[in-house]
Amino acid sequence: MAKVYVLTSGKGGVGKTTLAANLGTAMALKGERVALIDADIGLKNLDVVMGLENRIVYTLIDVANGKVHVFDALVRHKQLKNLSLLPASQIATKEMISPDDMKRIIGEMKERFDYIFVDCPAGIERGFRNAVAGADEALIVTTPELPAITDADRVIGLLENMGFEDDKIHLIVNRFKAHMVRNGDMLNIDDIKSALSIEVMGIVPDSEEVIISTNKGVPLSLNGADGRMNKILDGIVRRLEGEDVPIPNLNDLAEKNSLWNVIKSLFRHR
Amino acid sequence: MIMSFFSIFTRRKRRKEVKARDSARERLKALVGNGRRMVYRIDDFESPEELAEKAEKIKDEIQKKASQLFNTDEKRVKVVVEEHNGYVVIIANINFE
Repeated sequence: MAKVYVLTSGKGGVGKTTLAANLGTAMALKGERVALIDADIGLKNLDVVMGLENRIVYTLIDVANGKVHVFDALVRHKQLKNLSLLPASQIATKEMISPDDMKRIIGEMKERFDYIFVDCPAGIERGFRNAVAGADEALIVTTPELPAITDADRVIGLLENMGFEDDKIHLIVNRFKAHMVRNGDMLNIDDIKSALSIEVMGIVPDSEEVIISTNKGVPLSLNGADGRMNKILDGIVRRLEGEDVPIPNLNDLAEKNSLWNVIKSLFRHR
Repeated sequence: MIMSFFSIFTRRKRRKEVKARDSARERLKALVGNGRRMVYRIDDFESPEELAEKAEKIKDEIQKKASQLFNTDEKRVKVVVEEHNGYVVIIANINFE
């Protein structure tokens, strides 16, 4: 039976979709059967990040309306056969699906997968309620900035109100910049952790590679990402699997400016 | 000339005074420091059962009326009654072939 994680944040643009794609891919590379559900109906992007936008035949709405069975709507990844996507529709609206629909659809999918990641839309209205309806646990994605953290706090409150226990809500800090923390220009992990009072599941540093992989439609782990990003994603995946993996420190998160990287960057600018 | 020369040092000194992290930490404490931001609940209903009972009644009524007006099967009219931060929200989806 699959374990279902919803990636949510309240605020938009913090990297939920990119993280869902990258965590799903990293998990599938470990041999797990993984499904990604794009619950951001109307503003879907998970298919684009995964590079699967041209393979969509049916969407979540078709499944909710009983037009097709959920397994007929799933799009398999080109390289990883154990990774599938249930895409969202671009022409539908979030009101066209209900939390009960989501519970039923996820319930049907659970038997065939080990992990399901639901990409939640921004906001705390209908789309949010749909996305969290069938989830066992929540991954709150935030960036180290006040608007994202305060929205995350609001979402945690809503999840608790909806019956999620504290130990089922985890935090992922995205776009972390170690050099800014060192200079005293950005909140550090302890500041964020103490404000939100939930366990940190992962810290993802800001990286140009994320933009490159999104533009190519190839998730980081398949795009030959540097060892640092792969190690960080692998750490989160292992923690999700229940392993006791230490959270990376500032040195692990900092971009390494080796002599070779400096030389490469000089040529890139030219 | 001399004044502007000294002002360079003054500005630099001021910049060092408040770090962005310190300022953000203080503001964060003020925003979320005193427990979670308020999540309202409906208190007009004495019990969740009462709300659920009324929700079922209104769902039946909407299903009947919508299926008549849109000439569709009652099963194809999905009605959801939710509580959203102090409000009752009713959402009806009418599906056609």
